[in-house]
Amino acid sequence: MIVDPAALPGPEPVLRLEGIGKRYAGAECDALRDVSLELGTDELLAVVGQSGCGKTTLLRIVAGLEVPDAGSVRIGGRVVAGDEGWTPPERRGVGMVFQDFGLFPHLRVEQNVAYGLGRLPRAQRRPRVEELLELVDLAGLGRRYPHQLSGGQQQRVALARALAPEPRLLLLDEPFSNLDRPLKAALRESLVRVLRRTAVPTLLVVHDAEDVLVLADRVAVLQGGRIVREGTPGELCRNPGDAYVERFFQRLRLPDANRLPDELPSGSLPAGEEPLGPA
Amino acid sequence: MEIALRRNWRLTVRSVPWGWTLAAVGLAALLAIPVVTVPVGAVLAPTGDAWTHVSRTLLPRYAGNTLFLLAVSGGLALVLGAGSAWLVAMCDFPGRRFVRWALVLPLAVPAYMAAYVYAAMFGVTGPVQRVLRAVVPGGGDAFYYWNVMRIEVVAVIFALVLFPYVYLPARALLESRAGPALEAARVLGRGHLEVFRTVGLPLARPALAAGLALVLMEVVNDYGAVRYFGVPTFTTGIFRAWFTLGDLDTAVRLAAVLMIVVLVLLLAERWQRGGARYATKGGGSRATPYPLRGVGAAGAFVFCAVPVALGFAVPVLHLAAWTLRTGPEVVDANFLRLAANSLALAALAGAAAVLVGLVLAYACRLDPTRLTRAASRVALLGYSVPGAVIAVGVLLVTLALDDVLGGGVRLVLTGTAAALVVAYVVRFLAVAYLPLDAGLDRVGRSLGEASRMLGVRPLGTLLRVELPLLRGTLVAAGTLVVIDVLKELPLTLILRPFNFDTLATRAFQLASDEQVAQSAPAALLVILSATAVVALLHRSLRRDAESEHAR
Repeated sequence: MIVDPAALPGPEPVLRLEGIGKRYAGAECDALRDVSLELGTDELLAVVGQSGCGKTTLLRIVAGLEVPDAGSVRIGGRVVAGDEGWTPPERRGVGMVFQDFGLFPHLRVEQNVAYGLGRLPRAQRRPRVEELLELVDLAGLGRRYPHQLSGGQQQRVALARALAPEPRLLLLDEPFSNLDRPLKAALRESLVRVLRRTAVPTLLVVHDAEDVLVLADRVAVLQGGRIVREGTPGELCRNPGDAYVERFFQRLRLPDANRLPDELPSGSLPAGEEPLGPA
Repeated sequence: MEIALRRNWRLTVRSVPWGWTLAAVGLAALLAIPVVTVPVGAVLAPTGDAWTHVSRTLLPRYAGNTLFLLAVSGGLALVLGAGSAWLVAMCDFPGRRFVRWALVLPLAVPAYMAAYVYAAMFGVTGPVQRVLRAVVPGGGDAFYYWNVMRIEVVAVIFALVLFPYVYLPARALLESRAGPALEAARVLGRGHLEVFRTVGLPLARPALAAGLALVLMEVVNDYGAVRYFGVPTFTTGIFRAWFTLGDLDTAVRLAAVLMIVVLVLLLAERWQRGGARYATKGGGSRATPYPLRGVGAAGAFVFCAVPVALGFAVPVLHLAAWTLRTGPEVVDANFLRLAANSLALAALAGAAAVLVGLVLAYACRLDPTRLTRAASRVALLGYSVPGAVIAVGVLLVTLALDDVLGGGVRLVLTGTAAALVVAYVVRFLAVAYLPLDAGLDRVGRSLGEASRMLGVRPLGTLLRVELPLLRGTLVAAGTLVVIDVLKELPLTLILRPFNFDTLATRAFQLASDEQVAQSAPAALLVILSATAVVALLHRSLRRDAESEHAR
């Protein structure tokens, strides 16, 4: 089960995907083909691509909600999916913020956040919940029900809930797709702040170039189930090397070509009217 | 190539622990045993004299009567159900909203209870013939001593209480899905009846076939009405073989033949539906109704109101009149104990069915493979199997087990409430399963997934997330089973413990003993509880339909 660390170059990444393949029953082509990725400690990796390119499938495989047909998933050096075994989602120590947030409608905000704290002694749960609500700027809203909150507030509850059990790894599935556009910049700010503060390695899936530039340390471009490019946002912007990647970042090209987008203060970027990719 | 080879590890690695899948498969196997035992037992049974006699002399009569009832009741139910569905969905006439709702009510009346009422009303000594004899000149004429206890009358009674099974799906289809196609046909200049014939009927065909199949299943299942009217069918044959002749082998064989009849019906329905699932998906809207006036409106109202009156109002009012007369004498401490007994038994069966249905439906969610789907399909088989057949199957199994457990002397399981509850679950699991399955669909996947990502295992997730959200559905599913168990007759008669009565068996026995008026309070109690549930169910159906529109 345990991989010999000596056999690996450098420190063991938090997450390592090797040769992941997945095809859904009845589908005509593979959702994922031979995808390999690594996520280091403290890193924020964005997976981008058109809708239907397998981004969400990738996330669900890491989470343990789908079983890959081929390849292996290692978390903290331990195989959680692969020839050597399988770990169900509830024992992976992975936090996830779902696209639709997945808040439990019958539970109060504080109960939602405390849901994953089963292993914590009862006395420590309340302070932990308060601490998390404060972290996401929702202190005082614990007694509300999810439907009494705005979309942005709901997202922050989902984030606090996912962070509560101190996951080794955080997954964010299209964090902004369910939110109104005017809200986005502010929400993105607060998300970045929380993620930086908690320093949880994060894998996120987005389809908006602007989000990538503001949020991610590194980008992997997924197309047709394969990773076609990988690098820092700056690298990919400067040197797309692929028609799709070029188009993806094109919108952000400013008249002043010498200024690199990743040097820009966030929020001042021209917002694309629509998410990229074919409608 | 490599990917194709390495896919094999998927066979051993599963995203779900085996526990749920094994529980589902185990439950399905358990519930299938009584059903599978019958054909197996029929093949293995020794051919005795009784069977030779029955197969030569009685089998043709059983088959002939059953086929006659299927044909006439089915045909009439189809006319009533499809006709009223069309009028309600496609036309506007005064009273439409009332009959739209009221057309469901006959479902609350068990056929055998309607049979008692009509036998009494139209019998030789009944009010109808008495009035006719008094009013019409030459009233002593033999013509007016018409024998009501005929197979044709039973067939009509079946149609009157069962046609809503056709009406409901047909109306749902015409109201929600078929709107655009029907309007297109009208724009193309087709007349009302022509649209009905060329577009409405073909579109509604899958719904009509499904509803008709339910009607026919209920016809085959009935024991009380045919017995009361003295019409020998397969079901009465099974009872005769077991209770009168004490010949289980013959009962098993008749049950197996009855299963073949059901199988043919199911296959016919499948074939009818065929690939024809062209109920257009998504939200069509109700087509603009044809406004009816004058004679047309009156005709439409009468067409819809008469089945409601005959299938619901008349039996209920008549039973109510009887109850007023006999109630003070019948309703005593004993009667109340009987009602409590019935309800407790039904509640037990309802709870068991909900529990089993929940395990199956949840296992299908956790592990959506062919195995779990097959398990739930097998477990639901009992719904299409007549109660008498299931009872014979349970009898075979419990008698065999008693041979082992009691050394052939004592009856350990046979005739216990436990065996009865198991049989109810076999028969009515589908009634609980379908709403639970739909409920889990409504809750969706992501809440359960979120819970598991937070470290909670499937059982904990079900208890903490899905169940609290499905409380209403659980109660509804259980209540539907309770009502079906309260109405159930043949299975209960065969399997009930010695000296144990339910409201239904008591009503049946009193009616059989020429004390039909005394049977009314029990019958009325059953019908009124069923009516409450049917009405509530219809309301919730409408709410679902409306929320579907809103989406």
